[in-house]
Amino acid sequence: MRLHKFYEEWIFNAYLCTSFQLGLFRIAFTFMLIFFFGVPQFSNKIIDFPDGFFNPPPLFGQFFSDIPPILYFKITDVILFIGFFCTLIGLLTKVFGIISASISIINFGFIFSTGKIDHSFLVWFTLFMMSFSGWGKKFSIDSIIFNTKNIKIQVWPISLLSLSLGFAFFTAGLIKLISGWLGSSDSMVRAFFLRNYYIQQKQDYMAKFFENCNFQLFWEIGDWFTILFEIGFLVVVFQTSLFRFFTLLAILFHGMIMLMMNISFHSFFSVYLLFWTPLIPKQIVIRAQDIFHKLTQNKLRLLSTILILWIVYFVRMTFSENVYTIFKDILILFAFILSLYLLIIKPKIVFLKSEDQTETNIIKFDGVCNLCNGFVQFVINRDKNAYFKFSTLQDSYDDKKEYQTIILEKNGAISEKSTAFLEIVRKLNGLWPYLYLFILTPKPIRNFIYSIIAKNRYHWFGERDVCMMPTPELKNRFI
Amino acid sequence: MKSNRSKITLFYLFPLFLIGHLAYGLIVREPYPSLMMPAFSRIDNDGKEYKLTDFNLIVQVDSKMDTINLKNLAYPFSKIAISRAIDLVYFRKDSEKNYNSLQKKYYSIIKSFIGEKYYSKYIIAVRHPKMNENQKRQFTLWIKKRVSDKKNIYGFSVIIEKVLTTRDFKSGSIKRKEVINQVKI
Repeated sequence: MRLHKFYEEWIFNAYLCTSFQLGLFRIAFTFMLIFFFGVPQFSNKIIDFPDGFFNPPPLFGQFFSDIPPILYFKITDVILFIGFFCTLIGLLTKVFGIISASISIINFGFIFSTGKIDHSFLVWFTLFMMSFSGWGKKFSIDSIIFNTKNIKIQVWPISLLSLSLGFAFFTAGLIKLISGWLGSSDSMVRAFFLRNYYIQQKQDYMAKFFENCNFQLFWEIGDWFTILFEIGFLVVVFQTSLFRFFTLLAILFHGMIMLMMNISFHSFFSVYLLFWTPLIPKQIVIRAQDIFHKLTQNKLRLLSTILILWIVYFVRMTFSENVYTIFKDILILFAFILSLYLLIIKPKIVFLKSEDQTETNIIKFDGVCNLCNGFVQFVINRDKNAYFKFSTLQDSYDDKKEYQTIILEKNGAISEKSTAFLEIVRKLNGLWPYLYLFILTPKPIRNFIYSIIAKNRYHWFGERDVCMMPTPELKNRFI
Repeated sequence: MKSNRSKITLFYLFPLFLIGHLAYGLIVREPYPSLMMPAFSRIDNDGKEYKLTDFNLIVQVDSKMDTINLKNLAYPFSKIAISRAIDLVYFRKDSEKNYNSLQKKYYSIIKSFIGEKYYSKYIIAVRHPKMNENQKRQFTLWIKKRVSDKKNIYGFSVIIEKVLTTRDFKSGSIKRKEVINQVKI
């Protein structure tokens, strides 16, 4: 029953966000699809298709006996052309989202009938599922034409997509694991790289450098990182902040794969963005609201904006495959550098939670304990944004038994022991937020280790006769 | 509340679907739509050398021989997709030889468990489907048309060699190269 409650809570509340944030995600998602990934056009691919060759994968393809005539693909290409643009500007968003996603999924089924699936399904599945979220209620033409004020948005599609993404990565890790990826005497990443280099002739970017790289430790780390990262993606699916951290790792991973093996997974970037939607800052939302309000006040300006978008969109559709590739590579490079920056310089952002923006945090600590006082000083030095306020346990409780744990109070909710410690370090500057990864350790084990330290803290680190007195400049941080 | 119940039911059924389609994908063949990711794990690796199969395409006009790069021939399709098609059309009987040693072990266990008949019918026939004569003929014409377009030649034949290359693991240099099968079209 407790598990059911937890699951239900996760389904409906894990990615709580506003209709404005969802609207901004819709624009970003479709923009990336259109301008970096490209609206799928099937008729030009089907013309080159091996004649008479229809060997579809199980499930979808079994409903068809052959590939439909070229006219079908030409018609669906036009529908997709209109559908993607309407989803971008938010005109009949739900209808066009569902139609565009369905056509893409079905038509890719025909493309994959030579037997190779390119795994872009998750992108179309995101478009399909998010059409049910109400992402067209704001920053859209729908919001001008229809009354969308009282329509409730749905965030369960985001939870479903996080489960899908976690599972997708898990499948890759599991298959590697059972096929002996870690059991070989040498690196499987190296073996796969060489196969790609020589057989698939993927020798661009940094491939030549890695071909000559015989640094064994690098390749071994590659093996272990791949498995831990891919399987770990499913493990963290119920921890939203860790899940977001894994999406950043994924971008880093895809960037490396691109540089080493010239395999591009850029289309997933737009999906990863979804899980960051609840963290879109209020200031950006207000700024976007302001721009949209100005547009709606002046119909001529609105129409000319749509017209300009349409022209840019049309021009974009005429670009050749080479231009697409340049756009994609720029996107990968940008995302790769951004993820590196966040992971190394700003890990505090990596582990952010949506509620962090509004809540007040009070750390209650044992005022006579040297270890606790040292920790408080440590937190103050690394809490540049002054997230935390402090109070001694002696001020709140008379019973000494209550002093065995540090307490973190967030908007009335209380965390203690190891959970409190990890929640505190999550918000510090520097690389300390990485300690939050220990949240994956089962709570009884974490708390057991915490209790050992807590019990011996006076013995190991000493105690004071009186509680810590804050310096004048820190006085406002103490309650 | 009622609609919430249906969503919760969906969330309980969805993982079952995911597990089912993973099991089917692992044992038989990856379905589509699929939420599986590529695993890139089909290579045997002893740390000293690794073996990979590839195709050589030799174009023969009268007595003159010339080669054509399969990657260029396949474009805009991926070389992997066309290699798989070539394998199915001309070298279908070799398909199981492409498995790595662990895959061979797993499939021999499955075969002994369900029997040769069911193994062939429900796994091999789906994993490596048999192309009919019309499909083979049309695919051959497609290959020849592509060669003709790329090389601007007519009245030629194409020899497709399935090559097993053994490379040194560290340096990547070729240690052995052997033609394990070939077909002339």
